[in-house]
Amino acid sequence: MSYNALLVLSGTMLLGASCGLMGVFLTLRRQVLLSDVISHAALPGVAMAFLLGLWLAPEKAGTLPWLVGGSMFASGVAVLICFALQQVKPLWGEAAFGIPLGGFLALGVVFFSIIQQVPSGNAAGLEGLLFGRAAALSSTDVLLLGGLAGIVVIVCLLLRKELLLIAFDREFAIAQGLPVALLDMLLTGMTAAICVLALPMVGFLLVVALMVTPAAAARFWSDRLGLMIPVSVMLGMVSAGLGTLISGQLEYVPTGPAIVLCATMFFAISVCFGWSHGVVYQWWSRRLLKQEQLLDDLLRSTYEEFEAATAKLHSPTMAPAETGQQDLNQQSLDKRLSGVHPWAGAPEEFWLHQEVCFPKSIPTKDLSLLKQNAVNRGCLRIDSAGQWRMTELGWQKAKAVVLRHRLLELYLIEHAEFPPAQGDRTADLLEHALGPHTVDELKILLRIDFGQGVIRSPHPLEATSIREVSP
Amino acid sequence: MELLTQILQALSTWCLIDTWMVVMAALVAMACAIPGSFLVLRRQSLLADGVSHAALPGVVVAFLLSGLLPAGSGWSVVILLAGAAVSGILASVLIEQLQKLRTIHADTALGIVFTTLFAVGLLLLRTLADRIHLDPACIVFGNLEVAVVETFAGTSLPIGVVVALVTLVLNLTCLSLFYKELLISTFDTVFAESIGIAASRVQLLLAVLVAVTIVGAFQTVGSLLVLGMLVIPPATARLLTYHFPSMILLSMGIGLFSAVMGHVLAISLVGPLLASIGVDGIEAVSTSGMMVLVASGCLLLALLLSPEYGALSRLGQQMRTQMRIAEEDLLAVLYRLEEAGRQVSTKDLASLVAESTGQPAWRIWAASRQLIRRGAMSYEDQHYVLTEIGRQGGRQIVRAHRLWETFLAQRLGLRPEQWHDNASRAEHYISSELRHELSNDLMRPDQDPQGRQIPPES
Repeated sequence: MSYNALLVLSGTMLLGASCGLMGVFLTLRRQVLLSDVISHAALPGVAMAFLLGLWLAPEKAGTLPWLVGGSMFASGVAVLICFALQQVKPLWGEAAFGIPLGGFLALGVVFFSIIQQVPSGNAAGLEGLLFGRAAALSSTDVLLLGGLAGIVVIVCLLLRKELLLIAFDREFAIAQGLPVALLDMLLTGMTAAICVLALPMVGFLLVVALMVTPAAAARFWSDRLGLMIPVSVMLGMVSAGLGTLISGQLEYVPTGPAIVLCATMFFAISVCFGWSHGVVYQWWSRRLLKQEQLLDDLLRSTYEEFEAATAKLHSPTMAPAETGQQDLNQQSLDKRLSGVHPWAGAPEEFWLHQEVCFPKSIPTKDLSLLKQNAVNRGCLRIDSAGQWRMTELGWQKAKAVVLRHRLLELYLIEHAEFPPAQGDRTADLLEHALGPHTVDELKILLRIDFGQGVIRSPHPLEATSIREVSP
Repeated sequence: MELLTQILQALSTWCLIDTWMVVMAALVAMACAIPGSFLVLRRQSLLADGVSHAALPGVVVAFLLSGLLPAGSGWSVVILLAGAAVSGILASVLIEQLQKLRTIHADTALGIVFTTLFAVGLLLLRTLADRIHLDPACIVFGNLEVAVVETFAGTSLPIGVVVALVTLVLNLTCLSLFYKELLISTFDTVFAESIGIAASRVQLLLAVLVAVTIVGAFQTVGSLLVLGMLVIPPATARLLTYHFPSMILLSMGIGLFSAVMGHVLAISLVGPLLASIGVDGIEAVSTSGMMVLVASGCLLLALLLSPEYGALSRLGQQMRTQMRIAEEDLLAVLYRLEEAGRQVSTKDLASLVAESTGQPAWRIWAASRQLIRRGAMSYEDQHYVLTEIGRQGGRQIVRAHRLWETFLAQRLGLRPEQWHDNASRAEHYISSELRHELSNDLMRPDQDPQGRQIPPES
């Protein structure tokens, strides 16, 4: 690789990185569309600078400093027009953005059709600006673009705190006494500058992609800005470098599309595998959550089956199944709680030797995974006869789950005034979301202190699927 | 004068091709006005930009397919439009799916999807460059001059005219079929949802219409410039009217006008204009570019002249208000002089009013002309004399002034030096009802805090 090629590569990587940096601010401030306007408006600027160059200094027409200057000027005017049009009532918001965009493009097209007819007008250098041609850049061009981009990046890093503040919370920034209008202008100006500087590399139609895509991709990796910015900068840098290399190898591939497609590839990867919001991550965590819930359901239903069956066995009069609905509603809260676990003394070996009965509500396709999961977590075991049994650990867990459910149910009935039947069903839905902290809160709220025990179910339980228990 | 003859000379070479170009451009411009009106009202003007980029791969593939057909066949038109519709749907669906992730905003999703599709299109174009005769710059910026030469085999009817006509008819058909849905969903999404019009369906319909329109237009104005025709005429029409059907008609009219004027100016104006500053050899500039520029000119005029939003009309309103204030000041001064039993010559009066109100002399002069014309005062023997109408007007202003001073003194407890200036400003904005209320609230005073009489209402 020649010195020049290396220089061009490093220049494009620096530009890509700075695009990634500005993109974070741009997406945070929801000004993506502004960058669209900025980059498109550069077209007449370029053409105008070329024509002016032909007139004033024919030998320098079409060189980069002229074109960059022209496009900066035109982009600035377009942004001002945008902001001015926002003030006209029916055109506020996005409606105002399309107008300078269309108008400036048209102006550019007219200028270009003039350039094509000017005898001395060699528009070859301009073609690169349309679709990007990094390889055509000379080393002085790269130094110019890279130097300017470097200045913007340094300013951005120096004012990091202030810029982030106005991007996140303008009102607070105003209250802090920051010169918000000035910072706004500075940020917009720097965005415009980076847009324009990246033009020769990706072409004016695709600059938006290099600004937006890495920043959006970074969003899938982290919610924290401290991480989002480096990720975005890195993705921008790598896409720019990779795209330049590819288009250098393949003759017919312009740099712009190559870079953009690289960026999109990284974006797609981030959407899939990003460990903050990626699709795969979300799918996986949802799956884990579902397994957790199914295990909870299994443990609870098993516990309740045994509870109902043994209660009947030991003292038929105490069986919750026989305390009717009527009776339940008339009992006071204290009375309901006073019967804390009447059969708490029953030997735990008893439970542990009962065969686990998988409730029918669990779909068969989840069942084998659920069994595997339960065994892995040490909640269930298979005994020598091939029967499913609870383990000690499983039993402790089941108690906690049942307690959680009943506390929530009680809370819903006592404090949210749910009818008892509905309380049970709603608690089914909500219980999985309760953390240990919330369970403690509930205990305090319901004034229950019973150590490790489990409270009685607020609604009658029936042993439906389980057979007669023989001790 | 020389310029004018040159322009006329350029126009005298008008031929059949020019006519076809204007017809084609006009059809495209009118077709654009229909989806464009909805885009402007829904504040989605950049959706058009997005779809216009995204349509590129569709166009390229469709072009590739239609290359397999015999040249000049009508089917190529159908394939092109279908390709556009497919890419429009693809872009809309992708954007919607990305938004469903909830991690990125709508505009970011738009930016990512359209640039990617555009990059794919460019890449296809370059890779297949030797198989299809499509110039990227031509697709992006349009080339009416070339498009008009491609005709149906054996006729002089350009293919592009038929494409544009089909687009226009398609747009009109969709507009009449789904008028209610489009309109309701545009103005009140919540209500639309409640009566069963799904916002996402309407959005998809609009995206497809935009995509089809863009492809119908890409030979004429190019896939990017079409954005200008989609947005600028409807925005202009919106500035001029509230009524939706007239907005669509008006924007179609503006589109038509821009097409005709755009071509006329492109072939006649720019060349001679540039020649006059010493740049020779420019014959005609891009018609599509000029067309959008003419539309932009219309928008600029609307921004200046629109009855409600125009800068000039607002200026006029301001001037009318200032004039009213000057007239009222003059009447009040005359009333006070009459009250004091004094008479002042016109010259002294002007300087008196200028001194006490700060009004410039020309405005006082204009106000006095106006008052005489309206019969509020008359000119007699070097003096201005109030007529009964004028006396009534002056009395009301003075009454407002003194009531307000009383109010400031009694209710707000302002110091005496704060009374006069404040009341001089407020007197022009106190209506007769307000005077009545003020008077009642202050227990119908007949003297202001400085002891001057508060005149009765009439």
